[in-house]
Amino acid sequence: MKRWLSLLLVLVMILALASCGDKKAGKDVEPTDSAQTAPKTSGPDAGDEGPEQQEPENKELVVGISTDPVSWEPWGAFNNGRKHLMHLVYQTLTAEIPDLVNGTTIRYYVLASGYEQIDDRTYEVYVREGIYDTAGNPFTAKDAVFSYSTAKAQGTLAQLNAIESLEVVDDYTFRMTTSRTLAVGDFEDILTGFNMVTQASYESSPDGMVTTPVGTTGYVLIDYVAGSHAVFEKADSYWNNAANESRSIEDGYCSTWDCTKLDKIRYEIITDPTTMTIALESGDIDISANVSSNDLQLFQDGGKLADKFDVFAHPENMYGISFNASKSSPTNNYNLRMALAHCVDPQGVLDATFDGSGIVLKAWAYPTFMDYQNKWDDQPYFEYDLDLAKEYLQKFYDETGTTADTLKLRLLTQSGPTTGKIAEAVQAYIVTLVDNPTCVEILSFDRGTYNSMWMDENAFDILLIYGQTANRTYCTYAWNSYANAAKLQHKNDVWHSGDEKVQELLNAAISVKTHSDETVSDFQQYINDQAYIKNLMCGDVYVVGKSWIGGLEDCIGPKDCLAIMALDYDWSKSDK
Amino acid sequence: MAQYVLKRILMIIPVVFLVAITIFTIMYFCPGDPAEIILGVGAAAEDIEALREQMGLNDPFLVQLGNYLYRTFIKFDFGTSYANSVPIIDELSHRFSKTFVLAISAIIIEVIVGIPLGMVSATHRGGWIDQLCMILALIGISVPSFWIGLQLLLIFSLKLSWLPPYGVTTWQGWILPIFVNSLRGIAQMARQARSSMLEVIRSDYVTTARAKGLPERTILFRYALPNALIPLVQTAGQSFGTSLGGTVIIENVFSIPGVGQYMVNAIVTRDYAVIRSAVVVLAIVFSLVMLLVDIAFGFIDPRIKAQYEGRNRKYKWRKKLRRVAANA
Repeated sequence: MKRWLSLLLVLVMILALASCGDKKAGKDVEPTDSAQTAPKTSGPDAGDEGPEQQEPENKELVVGISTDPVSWEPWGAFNNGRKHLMHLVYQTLTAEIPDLVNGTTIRYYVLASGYEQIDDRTYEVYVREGIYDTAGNPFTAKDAVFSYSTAKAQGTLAQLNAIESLEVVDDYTFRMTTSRTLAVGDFEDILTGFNMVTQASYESSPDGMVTTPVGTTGYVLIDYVAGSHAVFEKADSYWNNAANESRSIEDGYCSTWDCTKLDKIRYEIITDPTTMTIALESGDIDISANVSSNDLQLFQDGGKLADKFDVFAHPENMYGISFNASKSSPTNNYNLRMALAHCVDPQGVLDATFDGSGIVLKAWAYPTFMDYQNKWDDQPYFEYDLDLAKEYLQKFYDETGTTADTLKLRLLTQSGPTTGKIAEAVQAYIVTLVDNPTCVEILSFDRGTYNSMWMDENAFDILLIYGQTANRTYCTYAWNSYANAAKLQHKNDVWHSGDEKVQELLNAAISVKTHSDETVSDFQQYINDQAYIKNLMCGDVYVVGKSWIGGLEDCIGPKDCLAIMALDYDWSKSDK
Repeated sequence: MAQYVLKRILMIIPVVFLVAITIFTIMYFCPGDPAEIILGVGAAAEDIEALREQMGLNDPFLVQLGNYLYRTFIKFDFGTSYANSVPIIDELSHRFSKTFVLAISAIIIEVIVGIPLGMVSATHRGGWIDQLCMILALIGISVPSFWIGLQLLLIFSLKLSWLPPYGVTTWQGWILPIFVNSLRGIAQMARQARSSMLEVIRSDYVTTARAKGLPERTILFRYALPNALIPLVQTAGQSFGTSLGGTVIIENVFSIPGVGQYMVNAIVTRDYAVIRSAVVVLAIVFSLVMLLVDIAFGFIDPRIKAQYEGRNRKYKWRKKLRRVAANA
């Protein structure tokens, strides 16, 4: 009996060790550099090693993504799967690419050739000539008006609700009138964030293109199994073949996203991050932006697979802590807010959650936003100072009679691995400040509940607030989303402050007429002075690709998707 | 027997109906607004209100419940997903087939492997075979399925390159998910089979059979196993329910587009229509499986059969007596 048992245990041990062996090797890798402001690549230069090989017949690139688009309708509700795939089918009138190196956003025309503001509420948009979709139908101003009208009737795209009327002026010009004067960036959002179709193709689709999408890009969807895979093939003809010849945006209408360098692209939907790593390692997929941060060291410099893969990192999504300034919360007290803002070290949170990879933020804004003020980078911004934080906390105790034992704070966060880690790090800093291990309770909820709860002033004290950086061009976008009392359902700002000065300064900053460096600075300065919010950092997200895929730094296309059709592929070095 | 089956079928109706009402009520009172999720953070209050109106979310609770029950049970229309306008029935039928294959294959393996393992264990009670079987069963129950799934992926997909690491587009893709999904069930079935068999083989009639010199194989398969099967059928039925509802993790690890994944995504996006439909469909399927289990009881356990047939005989006899008395 003992012999059998030992044999069994030995077998189990061998299997466990065999499967864990790679990970152990990966752990010896040195950590990556901490805080960085520019994107970086690692791994060897593609194509430096190995004998000359013939190009394979199968030039299909396999991309691993974690979310299913579910529907191919052009104007459906947003999800991450749609974010990654819709650009392969549909194009927009204009597009924007965050320029991570120069810290700005590049805006360019795709289906439009220009636009003009006629008066406060009227715009004329000029559609490029010679565009046709993959079914061969020409795209004109009439189709653009049809797309906007149909989508507006569906009611699922909030930005379109500002459109009052649309009118075709001629074949390549249409006029849009809005029901109100738009905030800065809102009109650009209407042009950029909206997929275009031709009326003929849409009306010939039996299901509103839910399963049979037809767009103006250079690709057609040839196979899709929900939750499993989607396969695209290069269209027989494409109106913008010139895009492959030059990627210079100055040329007019060429961008990474308009290229068609790949004949066939296969997207595999792999929901589990560990399975994604296994699929990359086994060669089943070639590139992915959904690799778990725990597995990245395998692919980075010094990692076991670094010679086969390149890694590109870029910061995404802002995370900050916002305080409930209503009377129902202890954070109504200015001194407590200052204490909490000074006790959290953003670099420490970045280290704890993203291994230090990302950027520390100095304002409620992201450096590539067009109205970002460079002076913010040099100004003090709730610097981490535990002694100062303790002074503010003592003032709070003195004013309110609260003690360390009676101070209870609720930290509201969206559930998820990243937000969970950030919340825990923030909790640890506050516990250190207050010296009471039970003073912070983390309330973690799914997105729907979280969004309802932050509008309830009785539900939280500290909010882990997060803001998108991709496809956002102005600081005012996040400000308008979270602080505009006139817009929000609870008729207050995210801080429940009821502060009229906030609304006054916000209106000046978001209005097209008054938007300027001064008004933007004034708003940022005021919320800093009141200590309503402390923005913490942007953590890096990664793209991991085989080393025969060149130009990963050009990978981030509009809306932060993988612009794989624009990269350089050395198929002779591929393992296909 | 027909009366027994009919009674069980009729019982499904209120169960499914109650499940539908319960899930509707829970989702109605859950915090989180689908219109707000669809339009995103920062959408204007009037836009959210307009979308709520369009989706019928502003109607009173009872009106919404009535509409839902009418559409689901009278018109057999599950509607379309709030999030992506795809008809729910299309998505469910496409995904349910995969979840069903996963669950039913797991049950078959559980029965084929688990019962013999339990029998062997019981017949060698206290010996090394028994102990080995029970250690394996303990491992099967205690090791989390996502962990064992990932370890098997590392071995069979990465190291040996025998099986694909994700998806079920080929038959090889099914092997690991089905095996992993059945592991816990095999262990439970083996433990249950062992204890049932132990109870039965200690019975007087088994001792009598042995005393009469019947071969051990005959005693086991002809006399002991049929009696030990009753609790095992129950276990298999419950296990199927667990497999059906609990494939979320397996589907996630092996990237299988099943109902579990669909439901989890729907919960996150507050896609009420999808959640309600998926729960009702799962409730119907589970009720049907439990019906099959109950019918199987009728065939396996003569006492249940006799109970209903006896009741029928008693009823007929009473009716006859009444008729005779009336004639007299």
